[in-house]
Amino acid sequence: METGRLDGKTGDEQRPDAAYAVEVDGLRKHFDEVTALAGVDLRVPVGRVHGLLGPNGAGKTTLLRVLFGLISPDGGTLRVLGRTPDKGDTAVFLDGVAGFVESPRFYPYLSGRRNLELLAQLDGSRAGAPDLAGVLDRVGLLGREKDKVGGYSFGMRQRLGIAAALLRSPRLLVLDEPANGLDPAGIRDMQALIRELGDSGLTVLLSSHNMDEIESLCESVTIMRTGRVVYDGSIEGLRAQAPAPAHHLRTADDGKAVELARKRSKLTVEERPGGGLSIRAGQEELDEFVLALATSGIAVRDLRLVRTSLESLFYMLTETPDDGTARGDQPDGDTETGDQRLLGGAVGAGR
Amino acid sequence: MTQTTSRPDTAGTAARSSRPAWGAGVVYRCELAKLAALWWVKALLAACFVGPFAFALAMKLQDTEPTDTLFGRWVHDTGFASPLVVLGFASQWGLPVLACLVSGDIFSAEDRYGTWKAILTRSRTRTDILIGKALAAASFSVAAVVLAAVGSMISGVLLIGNQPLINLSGTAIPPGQATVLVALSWATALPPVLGFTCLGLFLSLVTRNSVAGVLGSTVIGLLMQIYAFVNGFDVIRHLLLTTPFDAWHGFLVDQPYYGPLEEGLAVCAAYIVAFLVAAYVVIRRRDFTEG
Repeated sequence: METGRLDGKTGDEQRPDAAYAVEVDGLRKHFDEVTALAGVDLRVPVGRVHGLLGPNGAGKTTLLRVLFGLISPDGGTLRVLGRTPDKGDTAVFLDGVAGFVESPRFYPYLSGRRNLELLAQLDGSRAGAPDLAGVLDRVGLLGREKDKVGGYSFGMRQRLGIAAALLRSPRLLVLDEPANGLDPAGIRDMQALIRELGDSGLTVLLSSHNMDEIESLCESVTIMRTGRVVYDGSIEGLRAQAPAPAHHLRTADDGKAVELARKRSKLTVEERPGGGLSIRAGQEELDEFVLALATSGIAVRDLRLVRTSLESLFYMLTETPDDGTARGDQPDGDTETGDQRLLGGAVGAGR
Repeated sequence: MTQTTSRPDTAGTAARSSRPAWGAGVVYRCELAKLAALWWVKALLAACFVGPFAFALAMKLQDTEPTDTLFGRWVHDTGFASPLVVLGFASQWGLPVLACLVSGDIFSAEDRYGTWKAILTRSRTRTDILIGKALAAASFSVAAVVLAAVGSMISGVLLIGNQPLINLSGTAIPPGQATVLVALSWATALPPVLGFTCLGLFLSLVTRNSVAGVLGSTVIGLLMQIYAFVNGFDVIRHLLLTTPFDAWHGFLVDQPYYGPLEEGLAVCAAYIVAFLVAAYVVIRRRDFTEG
């Protein structure tokens, strides 16, 4: 498995014989003065659940809208399932592609079932006779399918969006924040469904701003920031390059605890403005430090994990200012790769 | 659900060949189904049919006639005058408004509901969607005109009677011929109604706002009507979309003349083509960043 790169370049040379469901090269899109996509490269291998991760404004939604043919890029190339877009004739371009961008929307004065029937009708004979009941059952809407969509909750509309996508029997499923608005049980079911779809061999491009969701569902990930790709590669590769997790620590004597910590090279410590310490260390180093505190007679009153390794890297990749200067309690570029991937030149927020 | 993991085909020809021959027809049927589900659309069509009955009943019950309107003086004497009076009234503003109520909303409704992405990511082209929606809006407009024509004719004959119609030259026209002439007169309203339908479509698509789509078309229609009343350039008056609404006057004289009808057909065709081409360019070029 490829290790991924923090310079935003895709690892083509590492997958010479791979087939891609999505191939994007140098994609650019501007909205007036705002640069939404500043030369995005993306590869989504066939049969893989691939994550698209980034904070709000990173350009994920713009990228997905370009992918669906809803907006035209200013430059770059795009191939989806081997086809290039023809503006105005996305029907051929999108054959085999389904999903939704932003929250799925439907006609509120029609029932959920009627909405699906009309969308299936728009697909024509391609999809054959759709198994509406089966799809509705799969997303947990059987029994509510005759209710008007206007009365659906946000989460129910998300489920109906998945159902509408599955009706097309796609080869590439593109989901934009599918867990939005779902209750914990709904999120669990949604994630199980995505796993099941991925296991069946379907290619899934999953956009999210939730690192945990991407980590648990995806084999590979592209991380975007202000219209650029800042990481593309496997989750494993990302994990390997992640800094140590961050903990908040309160002790009976924080001053002595700091002195003790500074004697340990694999552990960084900062005093927090509101009291307590911020510790960044691997699990073994942290265990040793806690034991050392006890041995030194310093009681540990509170120790909490505040950021996992991947979260730390995600914040480092997506929030550190473009000049490479760390801010707040974000990691200060303590990995070499972290500094290498930081891009100069500010670009505007994507839509 | 069956999922495949096959490599992507590179031509897209399979997809093209598996699509129905006329995608706009599929969109058209979907649009009709959506319109049929809207209560206000059904209410409008019902009003088009029932409204003339109320008018004919009111005429029957009152002693005076609307003498300032063509055929108004005959509303108590023949049931064939009633549909022509209704046509005269409706042409002033009713038909342009009616034509824009659905067409002015049919694209902007997708913006309002946020459903553009739902339909644009299915197996239909933007051109299919434009043609399908235009046909659906035109179907509503034609249905409204036909229902109003039939309603006014039936109500006039039932409530007033099928006495001969006195034409504009003062000649009595037997009921059979009067029926044909009344039907033809209403038919002449179809081209300008379709012109206004296309204006509504265009404004709905461009403004992405139903109020602007409906009211904008209505205001433009009213301005055209006002221009026709003032002493402006005659050439411009001939080029207005409202002028063809009067083309039926030429049928109801002893020596019929069809010049206004022919001119009106050409003007309406030009408006229809212009608005549809403009809408085609807009929908092909539009970036759907919302909805």
